[in-house]
Amino acid sequence: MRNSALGYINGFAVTPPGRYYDKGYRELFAEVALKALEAAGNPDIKAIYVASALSELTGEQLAIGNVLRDYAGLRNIPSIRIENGDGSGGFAIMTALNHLASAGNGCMLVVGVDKPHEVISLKQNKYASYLLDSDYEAYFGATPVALAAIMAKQYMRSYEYKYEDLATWAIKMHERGAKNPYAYFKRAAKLKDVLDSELVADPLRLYDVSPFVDGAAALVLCSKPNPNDLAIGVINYGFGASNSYFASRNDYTVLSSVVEAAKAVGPLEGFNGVVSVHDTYSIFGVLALEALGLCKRGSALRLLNEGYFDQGGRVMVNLDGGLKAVGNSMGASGVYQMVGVVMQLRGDKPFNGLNAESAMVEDMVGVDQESVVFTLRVVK
Amino acid sequence: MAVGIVGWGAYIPRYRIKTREIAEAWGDDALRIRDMYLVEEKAVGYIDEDPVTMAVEASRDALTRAGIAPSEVGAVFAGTESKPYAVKPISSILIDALNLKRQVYSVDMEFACKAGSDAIVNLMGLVKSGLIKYGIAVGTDSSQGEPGEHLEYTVGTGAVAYIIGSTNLVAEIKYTYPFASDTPDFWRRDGSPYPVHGEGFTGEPAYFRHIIGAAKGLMEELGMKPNDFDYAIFHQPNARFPVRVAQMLGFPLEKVKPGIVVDLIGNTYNASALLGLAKVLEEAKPGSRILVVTFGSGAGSNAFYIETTDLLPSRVKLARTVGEMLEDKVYIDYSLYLKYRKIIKMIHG
Amino acid sequence: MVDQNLSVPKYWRKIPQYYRLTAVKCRKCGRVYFPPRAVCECGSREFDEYELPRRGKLIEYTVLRSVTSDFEKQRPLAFGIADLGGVRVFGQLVDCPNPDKLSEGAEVEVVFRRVKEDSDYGIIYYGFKLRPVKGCW
Repeated sequence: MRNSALGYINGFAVTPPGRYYDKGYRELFAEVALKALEAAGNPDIKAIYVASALSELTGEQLAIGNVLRDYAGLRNIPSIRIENGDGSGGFAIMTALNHLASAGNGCMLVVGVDKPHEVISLKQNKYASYLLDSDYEAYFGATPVALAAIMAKQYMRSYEYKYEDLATWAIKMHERGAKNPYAYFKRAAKLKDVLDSELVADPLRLYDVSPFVDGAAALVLCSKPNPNDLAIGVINYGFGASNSYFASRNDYTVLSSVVEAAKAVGPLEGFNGVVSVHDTYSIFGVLALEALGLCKRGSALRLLNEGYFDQGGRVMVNLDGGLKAVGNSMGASGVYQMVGVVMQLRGDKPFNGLNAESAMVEDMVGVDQESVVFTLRVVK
Repeated sequence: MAVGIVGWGAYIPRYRIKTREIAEAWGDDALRIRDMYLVEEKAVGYIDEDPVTMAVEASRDALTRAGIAPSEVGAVFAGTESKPYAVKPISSILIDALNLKRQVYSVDMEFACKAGSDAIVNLMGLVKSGLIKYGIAVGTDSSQGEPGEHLEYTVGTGAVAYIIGSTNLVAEIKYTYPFASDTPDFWRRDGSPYPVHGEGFTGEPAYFRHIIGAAKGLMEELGMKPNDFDYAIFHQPNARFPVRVAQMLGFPLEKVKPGIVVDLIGNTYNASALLGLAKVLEEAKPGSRILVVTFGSGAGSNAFYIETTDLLPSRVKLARTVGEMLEDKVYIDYSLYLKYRKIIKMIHG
Repeated sequence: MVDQNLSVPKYWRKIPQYYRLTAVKCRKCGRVYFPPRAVCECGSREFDEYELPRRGKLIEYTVLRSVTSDFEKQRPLAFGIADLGGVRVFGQLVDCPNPDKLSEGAEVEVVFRRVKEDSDYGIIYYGFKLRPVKGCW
């Protein structure tokens, strides 16, 4: 077991996700960047990594790092935009950690920021479809939820689940979101709400789909922990990829990029602590749990329904409410996930009394294109 | 040199709307409408079908029946009056869709409903002169009927393709005879979505005069009489006109009925008579003598005298038949009809 | 000139794939790739063109109701994955009003259809789609 970390999270900040018609990329960036830097004691930053999927599409800005750095009054720091779809956040963190390693010491600022609500919903769907194969999937009008629906159908058929079993994901995420001050959805959901909601891609309904939200989240990653605070270290990360063309995959009931990433970060047997999975759709949350090896193939939905992954158990999943309740801020989502588990490890409200010392974060690009899995620990 | 049909293909979309459905929307008497036109229902393409897509389907089947490689085709001519592009041909899309070689003559033709048959005549010339070995003639249409106007009851959707050559003929085209004049019975101005027609004027001065002119001209030159033919197939704007013109020419009903498809799929314009021919080819014995007379408004007719060969029966089942496609149907209501036909005004971003 | 939202070259160079399902077959090991790729799993970079068969079996489908801006007027869209001669291909499912009536492994044929168009003035994109041979109603 490694005791030293790839990097320590010495500062963090989030903006409650929502629809910010009155704030743009600059304002959201500056808010969280400056707060996170202050929390970290305003260290010198070697580089700024901006995780954003939509900055050209909705912000109409190339090389956004320059504009954001200027606005926040941060000077002479390389500002690199990382784009990897809705996995931009995780891959920005991975890149920052690598940079930390090569620099040997110092701090990096990672900020995830995205604004889907600069455009209407039909346009949001079009941009989401850019996560798929542009020439052979999006070309025909497919969006990621259509492929998620195919995975859900195959999974439910293979393991004899009913739709009501899958509906539990939304219900549990809303339960958790209700306790999270920065969640987008704070209202509990009942089974009837889920069943009555409109079909998006059969059999997935509105409640199975995480809502697009504008958001910004920031982390300050340093090679040494803050001596005056709890040291939360990113211990390791693992990467995995799957076939980019969905139809050519061998098994539509497995997130194989997550399986590979978990193997690379591993060993994960006997893991206990808090977990954050990238539940763009309910079925992705369910399948991620199996892919991470937290339970046997086909069992995740049953265990979820039995409460196995709830607070108080050995493996506590998406206590912040997941993408379902916090919202899908695309490029920023992975950074929100990371902040969520950091708060849980620190025991910050509302996550007090968990006594968790280890965490796992799974961030995924599109429909199982590629994934990165991080392990974190409270380092003593 | 004998010239004729080497292979053929047809395409009728799956969806149908009953004329009764349309009549109900406009408060017309459904039985009276049916009696006027003898059209029960008509074929409707799905929202993503158009004369190009149907031309591809029909041509692919024609190549299958002909048993020739795409690279042997030397020309592709498409006859239509409902092109998706006013400028940009269907025939060029066919070149790549069918994997024809680059060295190919290609053009779209327009003479209202007659152009598909004009393509056949032109290809016969290219084959006879030795310029090409095989050519594909396509008749394809997805014309718009103006909602609330009577044409809406009969305008259908379909396509047909004939491969013309001089070897391995399933049917020889032994003679052709054209008859045309400037007779404005039906037209569509550039930029206008719907055609305009002269109601009764489309009858005697147009349809009947030109079909009879072409048919009589052909029979006189060949010294043939209606008795000498086994089948008579005419352009079908509805089911009454071809039956009446047959009567006027002296053809008994049983020779005309096999070639009638309009009662079940509507008037497929450039495919019309040629689809009737495709249906007849599915049942005709070798040595059958067939008269086909097309008609295009404006106006003109092409008469063809066709004789089937021994090679015909074995080719029929190599691809989808008109008989099968007539049975393969799903009914839709008027609202889906308007959606699929894009008659509801669409605003694209 | 009218603004063109859809790229012509991006579509035109894939006409063999969109119109004829032209895949590539590795000369060394025989694996077929659709969509085509540059390097085979076995490492070879030599391929021959190979058109996929136009008949196959349906593996799975869904109906998408929340579509993108270019497909607003065509919704809902049904999608399926078909096995065409051993190669899995993703495409729109057409002429199928009630896909829940389809049985597993239903036979599908490949058809040539319009995919979308660039407003009233721009290019029309064509491409392959999957059509259940029967059984959708």
